Amino acid sequence: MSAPSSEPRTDSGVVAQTPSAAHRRTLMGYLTVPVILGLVCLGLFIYVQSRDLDSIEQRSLNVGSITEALQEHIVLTAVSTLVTLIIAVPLGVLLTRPLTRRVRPFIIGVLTILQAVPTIAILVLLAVAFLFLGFQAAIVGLVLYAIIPVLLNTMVGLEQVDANVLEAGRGMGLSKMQVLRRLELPLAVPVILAGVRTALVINVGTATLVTYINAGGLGDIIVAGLSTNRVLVQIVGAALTAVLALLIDYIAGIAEDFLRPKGL
Amino acid sequence: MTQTTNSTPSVSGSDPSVMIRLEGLTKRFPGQKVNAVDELTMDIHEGEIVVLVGPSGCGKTTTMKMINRIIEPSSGRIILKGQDVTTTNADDLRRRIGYVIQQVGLFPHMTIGQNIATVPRLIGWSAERVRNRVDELMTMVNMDPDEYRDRYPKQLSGGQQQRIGVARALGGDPSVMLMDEPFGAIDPITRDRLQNEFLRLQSEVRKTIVFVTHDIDEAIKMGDRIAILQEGSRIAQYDTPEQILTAPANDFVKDFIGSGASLKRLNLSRVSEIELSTWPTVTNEDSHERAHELLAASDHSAVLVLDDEGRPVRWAGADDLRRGSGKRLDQVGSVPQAVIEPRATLSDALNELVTARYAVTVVVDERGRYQGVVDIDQINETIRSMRSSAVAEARTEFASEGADPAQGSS
Amino acid sequence: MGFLEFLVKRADDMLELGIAHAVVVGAAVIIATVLGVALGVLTYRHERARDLTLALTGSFLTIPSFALFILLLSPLGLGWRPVLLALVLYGLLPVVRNTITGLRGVDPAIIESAKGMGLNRRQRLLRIELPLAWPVIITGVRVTTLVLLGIAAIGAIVNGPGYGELIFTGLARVGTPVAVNLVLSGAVGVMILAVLFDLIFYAVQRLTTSRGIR
Repeated sequence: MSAPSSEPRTDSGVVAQTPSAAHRRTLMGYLTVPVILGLVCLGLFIYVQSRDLDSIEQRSLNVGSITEALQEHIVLTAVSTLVTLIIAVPLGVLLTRPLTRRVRPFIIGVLTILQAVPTIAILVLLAVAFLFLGFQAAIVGLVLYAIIPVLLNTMVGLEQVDANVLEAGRGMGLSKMQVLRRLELPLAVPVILAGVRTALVINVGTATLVTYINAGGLGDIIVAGLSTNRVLVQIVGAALTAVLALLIDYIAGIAEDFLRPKGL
Repeated sequence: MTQTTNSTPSVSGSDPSVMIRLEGLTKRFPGQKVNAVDELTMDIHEGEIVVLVGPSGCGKTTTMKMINRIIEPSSGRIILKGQDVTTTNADDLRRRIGYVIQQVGLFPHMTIGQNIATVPRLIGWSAERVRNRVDELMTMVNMDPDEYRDRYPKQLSGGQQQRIGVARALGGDPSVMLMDEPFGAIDPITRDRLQNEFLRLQSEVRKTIVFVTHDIDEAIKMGDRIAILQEGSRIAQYDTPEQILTAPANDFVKDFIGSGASLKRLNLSRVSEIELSTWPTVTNEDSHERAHELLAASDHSAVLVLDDEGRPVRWAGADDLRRGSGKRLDQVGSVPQAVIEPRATLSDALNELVTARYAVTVVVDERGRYQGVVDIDQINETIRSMRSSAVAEARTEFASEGADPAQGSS
Repeated sequence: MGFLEFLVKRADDMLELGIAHAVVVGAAVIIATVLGVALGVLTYRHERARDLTLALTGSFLTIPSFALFILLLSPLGLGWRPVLLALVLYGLLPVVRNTITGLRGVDPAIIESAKGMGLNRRQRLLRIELPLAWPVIITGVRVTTLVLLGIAAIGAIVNGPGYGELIFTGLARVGTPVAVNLVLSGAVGVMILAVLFDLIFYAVQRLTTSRGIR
């Protein structure tokens, strides 16, 4: 196409949460999301309070078990995101070195298709094939799945750093390492930040499923509701999951706004 | 020169030779304090190339884009062939007006043929007629239809793309063309060729053309008439290139033309229009004695050696003859470098001349046969006579118009 | 029983589930593409509408699939309905975003010359802008399809169609020899579909993109 697209992700094949439209957020813009999410929680709380809960519903819907599920969910998300980044970013850097130029389109193609592997299949396979259950298994599963989008993001981000800038850097006598450290990585910060956000959003979603391998999280509440056929429990679990995901994405978005180097 | 339109013309609308009339045309962009185009009134005559030229920001492009209402005027009227088109359907209007822009803007997903066929198809020509039109236009712009018809724009060079841009604009056989710095993004050598080709094309199709440029040299070369615009598209002078160069209306015009006005005037006349000087010539069959005789009889320091066909092949000076005694005449001396055809401008001739060996430029016909030479005196003489005739003309006009004081604006 | 033997034995099942999986994802992709392109076309010229659309469709994608299936369960019941709707919602953002990016990426000079030639708003959109934005749009659709194939498997929790059923059945039989085969066959089935869909999209992309802009 004659016009290069301004968003690097569009051609790369990474489907991730990237509303880069939110560059110039107003105060109103900053408040909208928390207000809406707060109202949803409040409505949920009032509704649950107004109902007479039977003993099964009470077992899931009490402050203690919800807090515990929430805590587990957040820990799962945080740890898996950290591990994802520790693996994916250096790997992304490695895979964008000139050495791999010729196989890179192939790698990107394979990674893109691998995004179709169902998360649930990875998790369940860990359980049924290796009888690997619990927190550690959950982390392995989450990381395995989230690594692909973040890796793709990083590779595309590093590739789109303006070649002229790099050549200018080399021309000024910077070594390859210095070019990477002082030019490429800083210029790729927005992309890496977007990767962090992507990882967070994916992991907070996938973490709902780790209940199936006994690793807890908000999925516990949903599954409890499903197995006991209590719609209210299902909905509370699902709504809380959605709220948490949107909140984490929102916070990540703000962090992205502030951490992005000035001028980019 | 029959008419200058520096002052506001009487708006009668009856002059059939007026193709486009702009009346009090004004554009103010939202959020701006001054008008980008301010009360512009001008007539553009049928079959002429009118060049709008001026410094950047003077409103020339805005003016042009109001004619096909890519930019809608804030007030004023546009009259095309006597019809007020200020508020008619803009799309219909645009289909009647060819449009060429600097960036060309060919549709990259369509072939060259499809690009050119766009307007003819829009206005409902038959497939057969469209096909013929495409081939005709491609031939007109020197692009072989069979070779290029099914190519895509990205497979063409910049110059070729703009040729197609011009052909596409001519697609629906519009009577008016708007051209916004059409050759601005093209390298100087190709630009020169495209300009020449375009002038030849225009001599066949005789469209009414509004041509925008910021380059006064291009304006002089291309324009039948030039409107030099100041800020707000106020007309500083609207006249023929000759008049503008020889009788600039005010200091703004003088400054804009710059110091090289006399040299620029050389762009206006062609070698074929002046009387060529003669030079002593010999043929390659002639003897050395004959060459020496000629040299002695003239005040020139070399003779020009022609071949059997009459084409210049050597300069032979007295020294060359001495050193090469015994050789045939086409074996001595040096090969003439400065050779031009009669279609070239005097400016071209001068360019060649300053670097040439004997301070003359040799003129040959299209088959390369010797016609005569141009020297610096002739160029000087031309400049002088152009100036005096223009001044005389300006005086007559000035007298006949009754000393109109409203010079330089409208 | 080896995995291959298992696959051969269950070939009929694999085919049936595969078709169901492909149909629900295919339908979701088509609906999401039509809606997404329409939304993109309607909003790409207005900054606020654009931002709002992107934020809204973006938040759909943020909601975990497991949660969304459950939330759609009450109004839509069990079966393909909640799965189809959830997949459409997930598919919107990439299509809308790529439509907007693609349309905004069209060289203004091309649009101006189209305008100057007298193409009206609709002709410009249909003949110039959308064909030029198309490679970007279809890239978005292609990638979305892959992600939706994976998400559709989770739809089995609301009795949705497709290979998810094998995975959840396997989960229910943890510890039995057949469990691994069930889960593997589900995952492999999705991967095969992914490759097939990608090949189809590659072909569609080649066929629907002008040679002049490849």
